Amino acid sequence: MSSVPRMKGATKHIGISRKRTEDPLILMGKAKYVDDISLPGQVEVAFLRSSHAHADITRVNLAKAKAHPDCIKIVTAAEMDGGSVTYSDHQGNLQPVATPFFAGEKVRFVGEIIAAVVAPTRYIAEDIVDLIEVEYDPLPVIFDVEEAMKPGAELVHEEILGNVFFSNIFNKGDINKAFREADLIVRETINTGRTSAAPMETRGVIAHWEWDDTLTVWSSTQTPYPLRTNIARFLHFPEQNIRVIAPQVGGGFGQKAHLFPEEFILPWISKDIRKPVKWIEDRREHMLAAAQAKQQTLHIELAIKKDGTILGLKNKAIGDCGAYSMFPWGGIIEPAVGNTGLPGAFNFQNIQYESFAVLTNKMCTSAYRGVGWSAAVFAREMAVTKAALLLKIDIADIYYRNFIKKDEFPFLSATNQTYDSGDYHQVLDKCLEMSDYRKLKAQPRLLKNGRLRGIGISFFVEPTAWGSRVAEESGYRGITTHDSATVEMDPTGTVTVKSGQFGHGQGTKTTMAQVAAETLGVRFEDVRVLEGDTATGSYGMGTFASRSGVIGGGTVIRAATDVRNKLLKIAAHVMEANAADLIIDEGVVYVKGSPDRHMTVRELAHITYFDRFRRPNTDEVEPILSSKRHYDPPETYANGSHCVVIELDPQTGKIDITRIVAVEDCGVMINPQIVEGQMRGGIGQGIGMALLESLEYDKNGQLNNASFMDFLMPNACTLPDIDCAHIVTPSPVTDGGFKGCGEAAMLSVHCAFGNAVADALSVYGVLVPTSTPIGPQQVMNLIGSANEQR
Amino acid sequence: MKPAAFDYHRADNLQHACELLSSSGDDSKILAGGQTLIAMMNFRLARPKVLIDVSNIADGNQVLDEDGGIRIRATTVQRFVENSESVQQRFPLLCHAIEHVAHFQIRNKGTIGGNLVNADPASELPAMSLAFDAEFDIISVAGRRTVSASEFFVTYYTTVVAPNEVLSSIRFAEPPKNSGWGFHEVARRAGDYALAGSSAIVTLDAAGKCTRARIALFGVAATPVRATAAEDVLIGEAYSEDLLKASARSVQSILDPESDVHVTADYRRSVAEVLTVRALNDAFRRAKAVQ
Amino acid sequence: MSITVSLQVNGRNVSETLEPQTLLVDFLRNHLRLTGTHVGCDTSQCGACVVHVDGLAVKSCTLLAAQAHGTQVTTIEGLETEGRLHPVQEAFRSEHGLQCGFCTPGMIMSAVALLRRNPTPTEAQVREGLEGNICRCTGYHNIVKAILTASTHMPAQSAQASRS
Repeated sequence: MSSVPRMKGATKHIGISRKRTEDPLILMGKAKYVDDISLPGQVEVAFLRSSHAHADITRVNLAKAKAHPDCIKIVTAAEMDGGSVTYSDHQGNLQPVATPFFAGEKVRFVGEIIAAVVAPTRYIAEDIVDLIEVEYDPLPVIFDVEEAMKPGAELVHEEILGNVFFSNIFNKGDINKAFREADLIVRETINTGRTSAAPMETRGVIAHWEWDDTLTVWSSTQTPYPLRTNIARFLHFPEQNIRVIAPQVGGGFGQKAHLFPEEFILPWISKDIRKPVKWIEDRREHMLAAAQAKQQTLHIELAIKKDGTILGLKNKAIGDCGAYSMFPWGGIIEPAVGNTGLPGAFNFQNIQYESFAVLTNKMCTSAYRGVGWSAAVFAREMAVTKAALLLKIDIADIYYRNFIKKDEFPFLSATNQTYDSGDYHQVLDKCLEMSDYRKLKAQPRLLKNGRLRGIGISFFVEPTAWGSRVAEESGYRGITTHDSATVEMDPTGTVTVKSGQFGHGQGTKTTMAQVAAETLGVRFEDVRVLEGDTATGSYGMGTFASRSGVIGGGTVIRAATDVRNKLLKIAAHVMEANAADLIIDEGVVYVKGSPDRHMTVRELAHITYFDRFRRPNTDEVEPILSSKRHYDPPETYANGSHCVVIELDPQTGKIDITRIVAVEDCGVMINPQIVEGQMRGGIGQGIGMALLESLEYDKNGQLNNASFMDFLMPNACTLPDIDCAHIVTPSPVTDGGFKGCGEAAMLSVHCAFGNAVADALSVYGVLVPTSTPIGPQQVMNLIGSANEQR
Repeated sequence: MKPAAFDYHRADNLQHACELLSSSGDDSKILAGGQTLIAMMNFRLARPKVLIDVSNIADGNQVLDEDGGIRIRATTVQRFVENSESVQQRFPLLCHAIEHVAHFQIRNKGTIGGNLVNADPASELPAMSLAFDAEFDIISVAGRRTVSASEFFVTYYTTVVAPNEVLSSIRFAEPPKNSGWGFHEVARRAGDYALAGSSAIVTLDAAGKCTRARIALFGVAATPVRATAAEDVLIGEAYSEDLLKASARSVQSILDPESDVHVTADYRRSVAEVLTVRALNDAFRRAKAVQ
Repeated sequence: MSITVSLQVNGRNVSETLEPQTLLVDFLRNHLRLTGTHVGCDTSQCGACVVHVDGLAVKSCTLLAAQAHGTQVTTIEGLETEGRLHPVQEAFRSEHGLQCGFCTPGMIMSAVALLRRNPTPTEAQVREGLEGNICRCTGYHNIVKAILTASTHMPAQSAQASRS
């Protein structure tokens, strides 16, 4: 059991582990996900998807399919001609890649949409899909990024030479001097495996075009407002007539923070046939055609002194981005954003990196929890792990030697990121202490059961709160920006928060209510949060990138502060007191020092709305208790540490994880239980990346594990209990002192795991993993390489 | 991922199922638990024209104690066998192996017969049929025949059961007294198909010498594999580490595993040897304990 | 071809004519509008679709509705009694054993079956009992904790509260 400190200055609602208001409906099976919604007259869509990774389509014969008695409509590129989305606004050298809704004359990955069949049910729609005949003329498949970059390589898109659609170079400090002065240079080529966020709920869309030319779209998305805006932009529908509803959403993890072709196709079809249309992605489609993630090849070089001082880092990051650029983030997000995270918690200032986003005949990669950083920090940490083993210094001591110190903030990192605060030494101290790290490290690796124990550690710094400034520091302009919230006090004194955030597991209905209750001084039970519906919320980018706590929290603090001030002004008038002498506590307004003089918020709200004799003159104070505010926070960076203890069977390569410890500083915690839920959930996915998950494309571009039978994610037996602890250094720059949490573990725990594998295998020599996942085959390969060295 | 259309018949008993099979043409299939078949139908990789459902026949779950063995009705769900006291007492290895088949929710519906006829070489039960000298009772409208485990499996997902036949029951022979067992498998994740696995039963005489041995492996060839040469190495010998290694070493040469998205064929081959040593170790230890 | 399937769902007798290829999960969700049972993987790996058939936990995405003919089915909607949450549901809430909630109904149905068989499981037994249920949000820690908590709070008879 971990102990959760109450936040400094916590009063009634912040820093309290409130039970989630989201839960009762879910627990009773009454929460409505997209597939749980059924509209009268609704019809269903199934897609015909390409079975070839790269081919010209020579013929599509719809005759048999259209002859099916239940066929309502078949749509191909010919009907929705030229429909595509493109994002082109990025720093660096970007050649925009248009992502078509339907493949036209050519298919570029297995799973690309060729036709949409509309039928009364999904069962029948699939029957009709089977009747469509497609003739392909196969083209050479571009499979490997380094091959794809060679001159004369086959092209994925004719207009993008060399298949590199984005590249950039960054230099700071004197990298040559750093490498000249190094006692040790570690050079590694690291390959991080391609994986999928694979939320338990697949994607799904319902579109309903009404006879009054209004469109309602239900989508399992993280970003309802951007979806509304972009349906308007790309389909040329008037935005004021569009309502997007993200109902209960069964997980997103960044994957559903994209706008997919299906989210444009369904509205188009609904308008065309004037019926509600539904598409629910099945798991095979999901594995083939929902954004994938994390595949990079990284050439990392570390310059380090004998005493463990890091002098500089070079990296060449090549993203295997697939066939298109998934709107809006695109494949550039992997190599480009990853590189910006290379310095981590270290204070070196010499760096050189290159990023390449390369097209291949696979599904696109894009955002997934810890995007880019997962790969970049794994490369850095495996290089540091190797240096530690070669220099015979414990990696924890390398961390201590290179950490930015707590009195050095604000600190400008080697990649020009402004870190606001933290106490890295204290966090690492805590993690080492909780995990008995030093004691375990002093013990023999070989256990009585014949297995090898390994202890691994890692440390991360994460840019959270993606508003326009963090986005720009990470290389993006124009995608993320501010968010907004409206706080309204009703005539009976209860409060409605209309938020631009949208929780799909994060519990923002609970946490935003806590922030509002705290700020206003009302009871938690008297606040309701509306989110996920563009008709009832407030414009915002949505929930992703560890941003909701900081940005959503900030918008609510600002709007609620306005309402509070207004209420106090009215109370001062009604109670004939000075506003500065009034306090609000749990729905009651008191005059300081005169506890007998009090009124309830309910009474005051009633007076404000209805009692013109008692409220102030409405020319001076408008009788509405409502405010809409925006927030675009400055940069804030969370940090933390993970320790992983494993037992490795050297005869089979099987690894069991016996212990995980996580310590995190995400600033002020709104709801510690939810923070710990995020910490542990991220660890689950990080361990998945480290140990199990890999989408295996073959050289023909076929995905050989497009189901949960062979794409393996952690189950309850994969993970042990996870101990959590918190170090709280409130952010000095954000409203509320929040820093953001969520992605954290995916910048770290897989590195601790890799580090633990190297530690277990240290009985054979210096053997450091160079790829993820680290399954039994990879372990046996590492052991085999030691035998070869001898 | 929805099944294509088919005609459906509910069989009253297995004889009825045979009659329905013979009257409904080649593309008809028996539906037992459906735990593999329906997933394949969801992918539309299987598209039977007719399904004959035996999943709800009367007395579908049946484990009968017989002299020197146990007879399990093919339609018996795996979880029923796993929970049977008689099987727990007389065939602890079989119970242990069944616990490794998928997840308990699947074993609540998946049948013993369905698993064996599906003949996935990575599954535990086909190997168990080899370890226990199983006999397969197969029926059709033409009559009844009995096939031994060594003849039953043909290749991947293929057995000698003809399209017009139904597996009726399986008899597992009880090993002699003074036997011990071992079972080891490696899976990427608990509940998954094994990357490779090995099971062993050894019988010892009063002097601790091996008089009988069964070694059955799974996940390492197109069918489950009984390693008779490895068994022969043990006969007449007492336990020693070297003996077990020598026995297990002879396993590798008879295996013909495949590479897949998880591991290579070489991995499977070498790990099969490791797991055989471990299975034999446990088997000798348990056999000594019952002496 | 159409067939008639008759069964009891959450204590109610139901008889429907349907196509034989109709999966049990689609029958529950689309015909009976009991949408608490979810489809996560279509291949019986993830457990989002777990329901009880004749008191046994099964995965309804790889069962035909026809196979449930004559049985008693309990879904997540049948677990609460008179508006009161089942102790397992309560424990999931107090221990924060859910985030997005999509796996939760299947997870709870598996947990109830697990506790019925073994009312006082160890942590290892709980984890083993959950190997057929995938959660992508929680890292399982709080789910395991919730089931252990429920096991200590569950009166003997509510271990059999499921109507099957």
